[in-house]
Amino acid sequence: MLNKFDFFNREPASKRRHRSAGGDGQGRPCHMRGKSLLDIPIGGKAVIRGHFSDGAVRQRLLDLGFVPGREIEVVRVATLGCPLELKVAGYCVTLRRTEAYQIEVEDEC
Amino acid sequence: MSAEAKKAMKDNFLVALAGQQNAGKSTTYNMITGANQHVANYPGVTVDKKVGSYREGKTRYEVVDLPGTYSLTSFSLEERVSREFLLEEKPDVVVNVMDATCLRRSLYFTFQVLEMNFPVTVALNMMDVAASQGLSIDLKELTKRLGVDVVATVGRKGKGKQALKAAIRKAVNQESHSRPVVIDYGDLETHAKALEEQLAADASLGVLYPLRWLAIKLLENDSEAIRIVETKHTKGKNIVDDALVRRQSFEDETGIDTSDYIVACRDRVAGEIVDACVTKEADSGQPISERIDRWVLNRALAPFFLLATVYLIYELSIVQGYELTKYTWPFLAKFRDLVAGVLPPAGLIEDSLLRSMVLWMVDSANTLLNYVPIFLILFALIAILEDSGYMARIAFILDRIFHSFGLHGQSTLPFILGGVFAGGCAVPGIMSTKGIPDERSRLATILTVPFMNCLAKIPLYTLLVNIYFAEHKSWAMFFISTITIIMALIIAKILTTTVLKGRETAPFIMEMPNYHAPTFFGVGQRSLERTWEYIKKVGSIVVAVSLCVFSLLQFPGLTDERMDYYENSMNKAIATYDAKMAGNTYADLATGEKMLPLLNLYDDYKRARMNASGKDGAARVDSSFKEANPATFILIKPRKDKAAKVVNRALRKLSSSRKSLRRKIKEEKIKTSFFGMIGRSLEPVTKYAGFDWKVNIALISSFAARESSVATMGVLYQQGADDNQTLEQRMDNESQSSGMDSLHALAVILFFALYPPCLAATIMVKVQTGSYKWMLFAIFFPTAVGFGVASSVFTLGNAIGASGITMMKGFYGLALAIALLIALVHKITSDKVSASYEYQTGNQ
Repeated sequence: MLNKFDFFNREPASKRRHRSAGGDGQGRPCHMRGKSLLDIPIGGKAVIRGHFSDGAVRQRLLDLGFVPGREIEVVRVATLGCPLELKVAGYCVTLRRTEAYQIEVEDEC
Repeated sequence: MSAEAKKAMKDNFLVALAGQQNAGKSTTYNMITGANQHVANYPGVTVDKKVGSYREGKTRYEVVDLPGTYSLTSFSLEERVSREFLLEEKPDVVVNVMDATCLRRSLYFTFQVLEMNFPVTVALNMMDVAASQGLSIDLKELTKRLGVDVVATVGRKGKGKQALKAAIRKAVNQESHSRPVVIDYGDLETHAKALEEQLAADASLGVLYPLRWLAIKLLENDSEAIRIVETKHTKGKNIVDDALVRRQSFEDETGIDTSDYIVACRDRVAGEIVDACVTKEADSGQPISERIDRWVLNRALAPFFLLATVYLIYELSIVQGYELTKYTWPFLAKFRDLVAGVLPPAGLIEDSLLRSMVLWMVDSANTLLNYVPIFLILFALIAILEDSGYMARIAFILDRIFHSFGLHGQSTLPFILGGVFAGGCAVPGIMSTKGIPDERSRLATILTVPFMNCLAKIPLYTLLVNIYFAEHKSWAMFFISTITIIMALIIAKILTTTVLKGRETAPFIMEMPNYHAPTFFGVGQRSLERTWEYIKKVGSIVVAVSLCVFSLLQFPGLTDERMDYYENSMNKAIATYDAKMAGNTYADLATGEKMLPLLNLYDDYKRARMNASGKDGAARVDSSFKEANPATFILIKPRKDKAAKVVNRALRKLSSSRKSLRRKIKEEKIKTSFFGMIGRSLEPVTKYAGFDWKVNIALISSFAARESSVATMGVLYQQGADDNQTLEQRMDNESQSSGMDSLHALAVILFFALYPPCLAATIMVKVQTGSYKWMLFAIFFPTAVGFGVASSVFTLGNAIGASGITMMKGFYGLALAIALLIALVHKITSDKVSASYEYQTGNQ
């Protein structure tokens, strides 16, 4: 179990360093701890906490309403397990696993 | 054009139509401009620039339809194009087309346009759909909140046209007092204001760009905005650095990414507006789309629905459409006869150049027009799939497979149009790649769609299969229809990992549309439009190209010596004929100058009788010929008149020797033509694939138009044609003497399947990729692949003495194994990158 969170932590941290020339490496450790969207079972719901993607992907997700704080539902997956269909803000959007993995979520309170 | 100059000439206004994808921008555009529009390209890119116009009195409004984008950032090409257009051209009014059914998301875009300080008019589209979903929108409140005019429209039905035009008129004359909503960016406001002040220090910048917008964009870390400030502001570098520091300090303070925060602020305002303006009727349980998808997109059932759909498309368009061509072909044949009647009559053994050239062109056009019924049905079915929303679901189901090979879920439509199993056309296939957002996949799709089995490839396949694989017919057809997909996927993978590697790629983020009942009018219109576009695009090219092919086959022509020889043979036949006529009561009508017209009449009659269907048809042909030629009809249909019977028999003999001579001349002409020379000079190379010069000519001429391959072969394999043998029998006879076997046939089939797109399709490749480089690549790369595959299969088969069917099975197995291996490797690597664990329910 620990492994996957390690992996989850490492990837965005390096990206972040790259993006912000300021260069505070250790960032915000507590904030990173979370689930990826892939941890949500089919039919389950969660709340978006943040994105680890950047550039065009992040922008497109935000444009489509994947805004932090918004509730998101995993509607179904395609026959071969990828892509996923997600329901956000009243409409459905498809995502591949690689992108879904970069969305950090938390369970609803 | 400066702002003052624009104000001075008040009779021409620039209107920009902007909005998100699927908001109905195009229908709104069509609604206000009518037929008055044309498509151009934005400088340097392949994004279409649609410009139209309309008049109101003396005032002319030029309307530009910007590409549909979700946002106005600098991440994607379309967004950059839209934004650059707005900033450079500074339209007098921006008409923001919004989708009433997802107002909240549409508002993000509106806010961004408003931030750029343009006079905005909102066209709230799809009001009917919103109403059907139980949404009611308070327009007054929305107008008040946004601070700009809001007009309700239903673009599809043309509702709200006048109101929208009135609002545009008000906006350009600045009669509407718009005080647009300003987004409060909360904690970022201080930073934004500070940056705005710094930017204002250089007065020249403020004229060109809205400063608050630039300040926000700097905080969003927008690359274009940074470039603008750095190059156009005297202290640009400092400001950009300051923006970075401010971003950083904000992020450290709050622990939130600045861009996320900005979007969240917009979202909050959008949410407030939606709450104030939209009321939703009490939910009546599950939406219908969701209930359908529970079955149609069910994990286990989805593939079956998909297969059923594809089968239905195939059955309805290709099989039934082909049936339909039986009814439409007589009209085309009649057209040909009509043209033939106008042209100078046929010569004895050689037609005039004009006659043969025009008839050649008509024949080429006819082969193309013959497909029109098929395309009408195919395009209508595709339009139904698109309008209903199932096309997006097909992309959803198949994305995993396509993605393994570097393609995209949305590559499905081009492949279906290109003819997945059998029957389609690469031209509309390549045209439909426009919608693929992923540049790398789009190019790979464009380059692999021509491998699909287009309608024009089928005749050659059928011919070869009937001769060489008669015992394994169904297996051979299965091989042909599926090997092309497998090879296309493998080649797509090769391309995307080599030449296309550096291309921009995009994730599969697609909005799943709700199911929608397609309207009869909409489907019919689109089907007609696309068919017409196909006829126009392909038609002009095919006719032009057929001329080239004609000349290449016709020239340099036969030497006088050979011509004399044939003329002598013909004269001998005529002499025999005249001898038989001697003393006949009808000799006056049938000899001398009257002979040739009679002979032509005889041939025309025979052809007409052959095309006539049933007893009634035959009777009709008889009566029409009798009416036109009252004196000579007795000779072509003698009944019980003995003298006429003699003439008729002699005519038949003469006609058949003339036909055989003509065929011989044609063969010799092709053999000595430029094409023939090319075909023969290629023999030393093509022998490795087992192609002789005849096959070479057929394959080369098929580059112009695939249909011609069988026609050319028909001319080249003509021994026995006089005995009315079919082309199959003739080729079979000849191949037995020349040693051609099923292995040769397999090599030809493989080459034909992988061989470059026809000329019309390569020109489409040029249009869609915007470069001649790719067009040339699309010609030479498949030729090399096709020849490589064909010759290795042929050479290997020869070496081990395997038959065509064995090699076919072997090759199929190998290709399938490679494809599966690629898919497996992709799965392993992508699993490594992405999650390495299963869904919780997946384990149950």
